[in-house]
Amino acid sequence: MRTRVTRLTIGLSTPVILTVSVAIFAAIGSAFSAGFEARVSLTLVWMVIVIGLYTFIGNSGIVSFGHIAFMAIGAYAYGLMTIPPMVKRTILPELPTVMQDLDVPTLPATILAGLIAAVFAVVISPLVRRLSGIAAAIALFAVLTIVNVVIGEAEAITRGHAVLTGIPFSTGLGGTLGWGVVAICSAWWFQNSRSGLRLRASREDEFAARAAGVSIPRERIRALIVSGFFVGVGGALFAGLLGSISPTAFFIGVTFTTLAMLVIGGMRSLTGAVLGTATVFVGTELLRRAEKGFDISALHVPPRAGLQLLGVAALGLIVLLVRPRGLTGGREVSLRPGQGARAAGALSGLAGMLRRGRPERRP
Amino acid sequence: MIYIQHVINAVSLGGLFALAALGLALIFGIMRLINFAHGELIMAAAYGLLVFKNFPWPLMIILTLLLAGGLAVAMERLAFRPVRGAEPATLLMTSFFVSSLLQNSTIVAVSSTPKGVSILPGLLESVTFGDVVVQKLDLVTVGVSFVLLAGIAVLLTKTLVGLQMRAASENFSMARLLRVRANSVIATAFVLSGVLAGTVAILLLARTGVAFPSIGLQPLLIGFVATVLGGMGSLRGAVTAGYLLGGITVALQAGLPAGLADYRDAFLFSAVLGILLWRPDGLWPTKLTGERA
Repeated sequence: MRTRVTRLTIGLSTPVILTVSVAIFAAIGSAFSAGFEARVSLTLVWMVIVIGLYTFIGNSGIVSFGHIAFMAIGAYAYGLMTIPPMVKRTILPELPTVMQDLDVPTLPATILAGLIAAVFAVVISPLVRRLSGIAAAIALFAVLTIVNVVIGEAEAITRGHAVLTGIPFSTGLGGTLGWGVVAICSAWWFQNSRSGLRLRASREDEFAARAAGVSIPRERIRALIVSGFFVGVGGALFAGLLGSISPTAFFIGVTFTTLAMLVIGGMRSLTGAVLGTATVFVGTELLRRAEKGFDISALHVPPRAGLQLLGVAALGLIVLLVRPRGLTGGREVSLRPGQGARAAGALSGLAGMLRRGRPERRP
Repeated sequence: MIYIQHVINAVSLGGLFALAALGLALIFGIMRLINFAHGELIMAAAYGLLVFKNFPWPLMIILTLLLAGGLAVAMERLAFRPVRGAEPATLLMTSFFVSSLLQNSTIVAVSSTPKGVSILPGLLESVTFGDVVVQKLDLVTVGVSFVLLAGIAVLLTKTLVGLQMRAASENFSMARLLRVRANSVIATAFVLSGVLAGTVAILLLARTGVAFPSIGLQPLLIGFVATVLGGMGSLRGAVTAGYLLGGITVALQAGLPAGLADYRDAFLFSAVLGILLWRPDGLWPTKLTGERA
């Protein structure tokens, strides 16, 4: 018989294991060159965004091609709040004075950027209330296009297609790690909350859930707001890490990379979101060298741009063909007894997941 | 007389959009697959034209269409057949990955810089009817899209394979029970969608004269929106929505004040989202779009 305490331990083991793994990843990141540390920080930023994506896609079952709109909004909001007023007056002379004088410290600016993205989620929420499945995916893609066009053309505020520079380099490894942990815990809290469970029920069987009294539109909108917040925060972190942003950075390419991370890991579990980001990081690190060009004895392989994305696409395709539900098959790591308890629990949990993760296919 | 020119522009642009939309709708009807990689069929045809441009034009067109059709069939065989019948989300992601794979292969193999190419330069000349000045290309686009759309309509209604395709998109399992061969029907749909993509590429390149790896994105996006707007799975709906989008685009282009003209696509897609909020199943819903328990 299990006591309440052990049940609680098992219940909380997933976010704890994920947090510890991410912390170890960050520690490895700080141990090598500055360039490597920056790439690890960027990976943690992607992780925050992918967890944000997962909160909506994983729980609702609706694939969204529009979430990068939240990232763009978060990034531009953060940029406009943190670029020093002096700089803003030079690069954005037509900006309204109120916005020119804004000078918000890093943390409040990051949170505000997330909140602004969440407000945008409320604005577009009628779409997920009215549309489902593929129609919703395409409609959200249209939202991304609209946001992209508006950012690209509103030159007075965003510098349009030109690069918005001068954003303070405020994102470090520590900050991204912190937000990564917040995102993991929040996503875990949400998916086990009343609202999250109702939404997951509607994902499995829309009609049964509705018959059981679940208001699907309401739960979807809640998930969209939480998800929009974290993708927005991810956008802010991204802006703070790179120091300059442009509308092209927030379009189809990033949509592809982040969705690939989620799909490779498994879009139906939080562990999948984290593992997928890490897998793509490892893959692109390996391909980085190849992209620069190298020599194998007499054979010279010339530098090739696009090789990293090609690798990600190939990896994603293989995963989809072999394991349609991703590496985790939609399961979470946990210390569940029977999967090899206690100390080795996490690892064997993962191994067990990989062994049994292959889902049944529909006929 | 400016209105006649606007109408010709709208019908020409709408024809291009309708061809893009029909290519997507054909596949969706049968496989429930929204084919992201349709844009890469357009891209492959565009790059094919770089090679074929020096051939006499009939040969150039035939080779381009063959290339796009062949690639479409290969795509189906290698990537989509293994996931046939999987969940819609898996299908969607598979096509998304195939699209990125092909696009980045092109970047790796050719480079991402746009390549200028001039095909059928004679079509850029204008002809004058009274006060109306029209580019020959617009007339050709109008004609080609009408002929192709009518041809596909005849194929679907008057031939055995067309009947089988319509049966398969109505109820795939039932059609198979009645000895409709799944593989050949799906392959035919992909060939047709490849030919449509090739046609879009030729008409697009004759107009713009540049090929680049993401050339297929814009027509793809419009095609997607048109398929959803038309009611998913409805071929007639997709084509009509294509023409409707062409009309709205030209109207916005002509009607928007100078400061807002750059935002044209934002207005276009906002209008589409507005229509979808009003009619979530599209303008011409089919039985397929409705909910099934």
